[in-house]
Amino acid sequence: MRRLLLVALAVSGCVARAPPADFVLRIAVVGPLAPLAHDTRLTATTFAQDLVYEQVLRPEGAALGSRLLARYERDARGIKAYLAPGRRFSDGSPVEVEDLVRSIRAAGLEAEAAGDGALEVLAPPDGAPLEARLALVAVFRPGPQGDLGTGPYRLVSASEHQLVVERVKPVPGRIGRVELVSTASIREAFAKTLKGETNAVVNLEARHAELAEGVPGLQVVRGRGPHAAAIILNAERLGPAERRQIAEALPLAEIEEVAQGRSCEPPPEGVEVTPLPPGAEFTLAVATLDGPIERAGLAVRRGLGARGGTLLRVSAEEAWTRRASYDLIVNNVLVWPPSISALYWKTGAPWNWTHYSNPAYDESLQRGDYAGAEAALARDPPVLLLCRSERIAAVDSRIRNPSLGAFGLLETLPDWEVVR
Amino acid sequence: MNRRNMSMRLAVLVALAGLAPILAVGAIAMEVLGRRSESGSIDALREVASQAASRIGAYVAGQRETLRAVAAAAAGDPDAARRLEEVALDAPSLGHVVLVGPEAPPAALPQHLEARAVKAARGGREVLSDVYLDDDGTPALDTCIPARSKPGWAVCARFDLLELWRFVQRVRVGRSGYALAFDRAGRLVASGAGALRSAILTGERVPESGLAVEAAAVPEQAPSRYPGPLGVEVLAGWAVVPESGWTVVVEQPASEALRPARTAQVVLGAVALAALALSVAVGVRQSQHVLAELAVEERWLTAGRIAAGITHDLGHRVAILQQTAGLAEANDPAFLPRIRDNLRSEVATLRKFVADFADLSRDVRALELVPLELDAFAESVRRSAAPHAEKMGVSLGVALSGSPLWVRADRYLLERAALNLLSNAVEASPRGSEVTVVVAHRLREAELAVVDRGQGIAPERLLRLFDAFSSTKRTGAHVGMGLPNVKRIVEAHQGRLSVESQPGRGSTFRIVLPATDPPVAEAEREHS
Repeated sequence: MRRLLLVALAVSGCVARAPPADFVLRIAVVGPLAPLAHDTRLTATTFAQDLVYEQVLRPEGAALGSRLLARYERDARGIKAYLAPGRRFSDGSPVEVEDLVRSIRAAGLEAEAAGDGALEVLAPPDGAPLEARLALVAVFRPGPQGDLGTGPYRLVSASEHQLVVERVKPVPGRIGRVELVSTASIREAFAKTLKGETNAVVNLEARHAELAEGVPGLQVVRGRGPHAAAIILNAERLGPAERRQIAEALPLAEIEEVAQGRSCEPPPEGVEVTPLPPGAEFTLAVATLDGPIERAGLAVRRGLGARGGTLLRVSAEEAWTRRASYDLIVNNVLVWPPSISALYWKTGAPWNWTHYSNPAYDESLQRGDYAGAEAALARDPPVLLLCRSERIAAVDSRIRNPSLGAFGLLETLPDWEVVR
Repeated sequence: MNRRNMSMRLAVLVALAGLAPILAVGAIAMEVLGRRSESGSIDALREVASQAASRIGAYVAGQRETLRAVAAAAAGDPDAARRLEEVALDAPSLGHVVLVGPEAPPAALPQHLEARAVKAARGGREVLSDVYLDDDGTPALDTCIPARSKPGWAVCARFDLLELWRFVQRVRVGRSGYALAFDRAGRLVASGAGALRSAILTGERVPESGLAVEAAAVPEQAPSRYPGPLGVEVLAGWAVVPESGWTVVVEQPASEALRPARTAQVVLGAVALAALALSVAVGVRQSQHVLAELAVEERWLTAGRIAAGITHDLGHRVAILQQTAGLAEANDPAFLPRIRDNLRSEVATLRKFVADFADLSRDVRALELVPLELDAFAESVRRSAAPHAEKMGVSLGVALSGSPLWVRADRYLLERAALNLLSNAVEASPRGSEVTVVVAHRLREAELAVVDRGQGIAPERLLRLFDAFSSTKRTGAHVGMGLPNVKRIVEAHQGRLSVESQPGRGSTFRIVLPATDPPVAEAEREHS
């Protein structure tokens, strides 16, 4: 018996200690934080949404999948979905069909329980693509401390200065607690991280990343985000023929090169740029978001040659309110997952503010033929896409495999491994 | 001292005599090597800093030249505003390129240049702001260039100094050396040391900030060795960026920069020690050979001396015995008394002769030490020697210490030694004179001296007086073994033997031994 005990002790001494489950990631973010809710749209609080809430449908690769639905199918009325068994909110209560119905209705869609754990989501009368809409619907249940979510983390405390979430079920070797720390500017956020007061900073520009390279205790993480810089052709002011002429006249690879310093892909061989025929000058606008967007606007104007006219600089809100005053605008649009583009370009879709309409595109979407839809857009382009934007973060080097989500910035954070 | 120790000492002496100067020279060489290495490293760092400063200066000058060209080409153009705006497409480091005239509103002017500076630029002088951090945290500076093609106007722009970051961060010296760049006020604007980069964004001063201001004034006097910002001693080389007052320092941990010299010093030291060890080893071996040969030769010399002594003494004895035999062969009864006296005398002499050899062969290392009270011992010795002294017509006296004086000694051997000295003294004294045994207490030592008033010993003989077989008396049974034997016995008692002599006035032989406590006190101390 004594020998057995000794062997047991020896073996226990040889076994590596389990990695900690209480690792805290303090992320420096910019601006005051809004209260956390399923529908928070602005401020860095949206980073915490990736951890606390899950969407009805979520991007899985280039397609859509779901953790909450066992399956879903199209029917004449819209989509019939079946709740996956065993899903729970962060307080341990089971997810009910009513919770999904409530969440979908809160996003402006119609839904109703269909019995046997199923629900029916009705296609909206404006023709908006239903699956793309469901990818933006967070599932919640109102609770006394705010909206409960089904994600791996839950809210601990929140103020405009700091928002704290913790893991619902601690997992050894994973991040146990995430704190969003508000700062006044990206410069302050970055400085805090370089000084070690926080151990992560996200949404860095490429130039900042250079400053983070080689800093002890930090690693730079890069990934592709869901946005792309895009040249939107205002269909309210430009007819199909003009849009095609502009698409053929603009040297996109060159614009990309001067705007962002590198091209997403090598320029296709044999593509010839066709100069625009003489005509009136086009009025351009750029959304004043960042340097690359502004440079892209200048490059587009130069690419338009003699027809490149006045360049307006507008805010994100003005891009909508002043849409009648420009022919083209350089702005960011969502491009990932590919199906989400339907929210912009399907006839009557909620973000289709240029009132673009392409029956061939709409029909392809209706059939679920995304390749056909993409081809239909290429024939009558409402937009010319540049590179998908790069996401850059600097995070604690004790994290072994950090990556940034292609849709939600921190959607992959629950899987990050912490090295002892 | 045995032969091995003796050979070791000889070898070490030879090695030290030969290698000490070499080692001294080596030590000096190592010191010089260390100092030259440090100055060489600092020169190298200074050179790197100088090259970095030159390149930064060339970069800024290049950008200004680009802006001059733009100003010359576009300022007079009717579409100047648009052309200047699109400069950023071809020169990404230039931003907010604008044409500024006399009526330009304050909002149109560069943020980091005062209105009078812009006015000076419109008047024909190029102006440059200090380095500042833009809202996004990147370093920049504003400049205005006179628009030569449009007098009274200037082209202003913002220089993006991101390239400064890149360039400074690319500078690497060795494994850990890095560069830092400071503006005129000593603010860190670029850092190759990752741990210091937060200071770029916060504007906090780093330890080198003060040095940078001093270096901008007199770069030659900037310190080249100091505790670095990361807590280790660094070597540093400073340089000033032309026309800007910015400074660049390249730092490298001293331990890393001087590692080659340290390695060379260690190798040099190791080689010297190895040479010393080899020299000692070879010296020991050679000394052992030499000493062995000396020992053989010494044995032959000793044998020769013994043979000479024996031949001399025994020859004399044999001659007497031959004469005695001749007297016996005469069968003359009148010769009987003389024959009897001769035989008795020669037997006694030969017995003493044998006794001397017996003493010589005795192992004095196996002492049987017992407590011995020296006054009583001296009295005992005097009594033993009295018959011989009386026969020689010499009186014996004793001067005692007066208080118990104890030593630990082998009584038999010490008595042999004392009697030998007394016998010599008696034989050296003229008839009617006195030989005195003196006992004295000297600090922690006990002394037994034998004092005679004889002829004394010639100074040249004193030097070899205690060497074996060196006696020149050659009378009776003296084969030169007596005094060497006394010395051997005294030294075996951890004592020493000495002699003082003045020709014509006599000699004093002293046996000095360690004094001990009385036996009772000693026993009590051991018991306690």
